[in-house]
Amino acid sequence: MRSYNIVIMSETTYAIETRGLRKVYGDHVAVDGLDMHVPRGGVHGFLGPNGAGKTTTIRLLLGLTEPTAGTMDILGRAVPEALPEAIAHVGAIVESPKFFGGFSARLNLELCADAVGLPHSAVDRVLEETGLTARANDKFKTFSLGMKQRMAVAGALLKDPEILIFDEPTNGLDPGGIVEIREAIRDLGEAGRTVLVSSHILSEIEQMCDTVTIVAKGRVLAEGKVTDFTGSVMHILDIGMRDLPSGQEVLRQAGLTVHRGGDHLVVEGYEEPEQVVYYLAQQGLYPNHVVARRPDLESIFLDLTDGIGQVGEMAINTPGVASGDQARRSAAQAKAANAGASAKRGPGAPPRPARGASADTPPSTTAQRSAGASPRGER
Amino acid sequence: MRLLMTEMRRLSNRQAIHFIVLILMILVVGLCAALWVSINPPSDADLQTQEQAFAAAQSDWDANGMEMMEACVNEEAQLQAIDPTIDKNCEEIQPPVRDDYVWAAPSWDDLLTGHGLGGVGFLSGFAPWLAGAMAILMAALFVGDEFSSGSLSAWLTIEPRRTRVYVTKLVVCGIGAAVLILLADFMTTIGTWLILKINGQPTGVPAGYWTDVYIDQLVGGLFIVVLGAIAGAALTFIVRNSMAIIVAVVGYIVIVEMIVARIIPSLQQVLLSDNTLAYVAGSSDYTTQSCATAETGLYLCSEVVHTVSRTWATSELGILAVVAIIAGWIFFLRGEVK
Repeated sequence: MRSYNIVIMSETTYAIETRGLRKVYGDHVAVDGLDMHVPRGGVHGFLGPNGAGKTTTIRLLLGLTEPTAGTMDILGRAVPEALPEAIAHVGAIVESPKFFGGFSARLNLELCADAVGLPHSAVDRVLEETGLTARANDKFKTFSLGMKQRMAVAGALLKDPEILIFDEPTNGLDPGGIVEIREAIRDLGEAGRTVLVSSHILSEIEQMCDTVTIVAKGRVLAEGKVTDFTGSVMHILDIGMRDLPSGQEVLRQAGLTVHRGGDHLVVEGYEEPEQVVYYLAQQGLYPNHVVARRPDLESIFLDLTDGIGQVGEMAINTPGVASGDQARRSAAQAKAANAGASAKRGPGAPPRPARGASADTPPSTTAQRSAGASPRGER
Repeated sequence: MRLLMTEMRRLSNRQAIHFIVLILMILVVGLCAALWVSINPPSDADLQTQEQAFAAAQSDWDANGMEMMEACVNEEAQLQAIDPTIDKNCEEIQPPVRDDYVWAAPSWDDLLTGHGLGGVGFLSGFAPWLAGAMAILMAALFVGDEFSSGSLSAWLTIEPRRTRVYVTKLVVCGIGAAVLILLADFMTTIGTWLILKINGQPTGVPAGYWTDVYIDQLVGGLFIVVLGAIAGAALTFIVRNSMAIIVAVVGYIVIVEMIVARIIPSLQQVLLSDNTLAYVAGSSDYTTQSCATAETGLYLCSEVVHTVSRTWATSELGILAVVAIIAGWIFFLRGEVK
C-alpha cells in the first residue's frame, strides 16, 4: 500500500457537507433539503434506492448542475463558488466511466494530466495502481466494463486527491470486478483519503464504508456509523424441515412471527437462529436446514418510508449528524406509533420487536448468510 | 494556454477530424484530377464535333446575326417609347467565339481569371461557402461527441470553470478548421501549378496576383472558416448533438438556399452563401424581377441587380456569429451537463 500526500485545506470537521440542499426539475423534486455530512478520512456510503437523489447530489457537488436552494462545502470551501480551488483535491466518477472510446487508456489519462499540469509519470503511476499498464495503449472502447471502471478509478486518482467521489462504482460489474472495486475503495479509505461512494446496494455499503448517509426521495433518512446501523440487524430465518405445520405451530407458540414460504418456514425479526433451533428440538422437531438472511434493501426502504414520513423529517431536522442510534430509535418510535403493535417474545428470550412491527430496521444485505453468522457486516 | 494545448491534442487525435481530413484530401485530389482532365485535349472525334458545332454557329450568325440584332434593337426602341428605362441588352448578341465551342488548353492566367472568384486555391469559387460548412461540421463533431459520450462532464470534474472550457473549445475549433483549410488550399494551389508545369502549360501569373488577389481571398476565406467553426461549436453547445447540427446545416442548404431563395429572390440579401461570397470577393450580385403596370396598361417586368457589399456581409456574418457565441455560452454556463 503506497502512502498518499493528503492536503488539508482547512481544519473543518467534514470533508463534504451539504445544508438544505434542494434540486427541482420542473415538478420533480430530485433533492429535497438534503443535509449530509461526510467526515474526513475513511469511506462514507451514500445509500438509497434508485431515484433517491444520490447522483443528483453528486452532480451538484461537482458543479455539473446548479442547486435550486441550499449550500455545499467541500473541504470547507463553499461550492460551486470555490469549486475551482476545491476540485484540485477531488477525484470523481459520475455514473458510468466516460472517456473517448477511440483514444487509448494512456492518451485519455494524459489529456486529463495535461489539463491540470501533471507530469505523464502520474499517468504511469495510476495505470500501475489500477493494473492497467499492460493495456495502456489499447483503445478504451475495447475494454470490458470492469476495466473501464478501473480506468475511471485511475482517472479519479490522477490528481492524488484527498477526496474521491464514486457514483455507483460497481454497477454492471461481474462478481470478480465488484470485489476488486470494493477492495480498492476500502484501501483508499484506509490510506487516509475520504471516499464518498454512492450505492443502492446495502451489502456494498456495509462491506466498504465506515459511515453512511441513507436517503430516499431526496431526503436524508438517517446518517451515522455503519456499525451503529448493523449492530441490531434482524434476521429472517428460512427453516426447512419435514413437518412444517408442527414446526410453525411450535414457533408461533414461542411468540415468533412465522409463516410458510413454499417448502420451508419463514421466521421474521429474529437474530438468534440457535434459539429457534432449540425451540424446535425441544419438541422433537429437527430442521434439515436453517438459513439466516437479512431483509433486502428494498424492504428496508419500504419500511423506512411506508407511512413514516416522520422518520425522514426527524433525521433531517436533527441538528448536526444524526447518529445511527438516534435514527433507529426515532424510526422505531415512529414505526411503532404507526403500527401500534409489538411482537410477543418466546419464553426466556429478551423482549425483541418483531421485524414486521418495527421500523427499527437497519440497513441489510441481500447476501445470504449461514445460521449463527455474525449479524454484523463482513468487512 | 495549458488547456488550449490539451484541447489541440485532443482535437488532433479525434477520429472524426481524421475523417474530415480524408474528405478534404479527396476534394483536393478531385479538383486536381478535374484540372488534369481539362488541360488534356479531347479525342479527335470530339474535336471534330466541336469544330462542326462552331462552324454551324458561325453560319447561323452569318445568315441571321444582323437580322437578330436589328430585331432586338427595334423591339427595345418600341418598349422604351413606353418605358425609357427598359434595356433588352441587345449588345450581348455577339458572333460566336471559337473558344466557347472548341477545346483549348487553359493557361494559369485562364485559371486565375476565367471562373469563380478567379483563383485556383481551395478557397476560390464556391469553396469558401463549402469550407465554411465543413468548418461548422467539424466543430459540431468535435463538441457534439463530447456531450454524447459524456466525456464533457468528466472533463468538468477536472476543469470546472465552464467559461474557460467553452472559450478553449471554440478557439481550438477555429484554429483546427483554419489549419485544415489552409492545408487544403495550399495543396490545391501547388497541385494546379504542378499539373500545368508537367503538361507544358504556361505557369506565369499576372503581376500582383499573389499580393492583391490571392492573399485577399485567402484571408477572407479563412475568416469565413474560422467564423463557421466557432459558430458551429457554439451552436453545438446549445443543441448538444452533432447530428442535429449536421441536419440543420444540410436542411438550411436544401430548404433555404435552394428552395425558399428561389421563391423569394430578395432573400438572397441575407443568405449565408451570398454573404460569404460577398465577404471573400468584396461583393456579390443577385437579381430580382421588378414588375409593374405602366400608364399604357402594359404589365412590364425588368431585372434589378442588387449587390451584397462586403460591409453588409461582415455585419451580418459577424452579428450571427456573436449571437451564436453568446447563446452557446449562456446555455453551457446555465445548463446541466450529463
